[in-house]
Amino acid sequence: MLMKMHESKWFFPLLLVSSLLIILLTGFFSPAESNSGQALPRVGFSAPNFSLPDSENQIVTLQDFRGSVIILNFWASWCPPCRAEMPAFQRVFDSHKEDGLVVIGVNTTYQDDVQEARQFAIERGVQFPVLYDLDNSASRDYLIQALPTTFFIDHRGVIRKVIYGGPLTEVFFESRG
Amino acid sequence: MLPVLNVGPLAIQLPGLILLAGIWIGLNRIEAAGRQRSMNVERLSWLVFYALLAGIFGARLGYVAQNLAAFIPRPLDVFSISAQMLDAPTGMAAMLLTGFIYGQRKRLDFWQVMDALTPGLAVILMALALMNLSSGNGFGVAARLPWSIYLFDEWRHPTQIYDFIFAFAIWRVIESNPRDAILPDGFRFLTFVVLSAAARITVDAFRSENVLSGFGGVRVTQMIALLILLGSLVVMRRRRSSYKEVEQ
Repeated sequence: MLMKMHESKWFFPLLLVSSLLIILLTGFFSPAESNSGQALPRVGFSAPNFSLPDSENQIVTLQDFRGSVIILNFWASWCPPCRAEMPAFQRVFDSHKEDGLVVIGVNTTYQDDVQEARQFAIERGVQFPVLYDLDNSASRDYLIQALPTTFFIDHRGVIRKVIYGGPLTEVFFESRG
Repeated sequence: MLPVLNVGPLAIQLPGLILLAGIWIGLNRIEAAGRQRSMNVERLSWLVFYALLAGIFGARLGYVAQNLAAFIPRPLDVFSISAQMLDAPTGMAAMLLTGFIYGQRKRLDFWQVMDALTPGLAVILMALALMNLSSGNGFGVAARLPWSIYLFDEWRHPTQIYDFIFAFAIWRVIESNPRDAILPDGFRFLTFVVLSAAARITVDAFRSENVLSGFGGVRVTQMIALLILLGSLVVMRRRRSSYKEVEQ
């Protein structure tokens, strides 16, 4: 087949012409689609909104933080990489909260123990908001299939990066600016 | 889409596994192609090994160089095991440079090496398409067709499947006929590049997440692929002429 292609006088010119044609057709007929209006847990889409209780049972809504850069971390107290990376989240929060950075930890409480999760957050000196996903609603909307999973959301509420697994290090956060 | 499989406490990333399998099968195909061409397979394997190794180190060094200020207070983090802290373009450059230097030092013919690598590259192209299918990356624009797939709240063009079909067809062409061995050196590789560029131009017309070039829905990747296609055709033409001169 490869030989036939090279023996044919027409194959490569035809391939070139059809490629040019496809580009022209794409230019004229394909829509310049934008994803940012749709809410999905993928890079380039708006972050799905949620409302969850914090450790004092106050309801916190993601939408309230619109305008800030948000690091949204889904975790569980039994998950070793989640435990390992928590101090890095705290240090990044300490260093950049004055700059408007918001760190939110969403405990996947439907598969964890509330008391253990709270105890863990206290032991590690977690100062940023920790929310409790009791009924799996936020985790379902964010298609959480592994722990930890971390979303980086820009000030317009658009997801810029998703990281499955961990532990993430402080230097990684710093390098992301 | 199934990006991660949770097996007990382990989070196994399916896309990564698919890519690893693709690289492993690809390496086997490269060795087979080297043997078919009576090349020194051991040298070819070392070339690939050094290039891959340099690619990984280069990617990390590139990342560190670009984020030096973040690493200065924590220099040991340079060695942290994290696939996130890699810079793909630097890694690619390090891989190509190392492969080129090793090939020069061992007096391996550039075009023969590229021809031997081609079946492996074709396999990796298939693995990349499957990897995107499993992770949801490279998804298509919204369209309600009998073959659309439901992804991210929409019926969409199954661009990852289009990619796989093209990659499979290219692999079949590349590995098609032993008689192809009489083609001038480099033609197998150049054909692979030309066909892959044409496939990129075609599939990216239906892809959603690529950067637009400013001309309607034309993607930047399509324009780059067109340049690569043109460049490869020019190189192919030149090699054909010089090959004919040598034959005469």
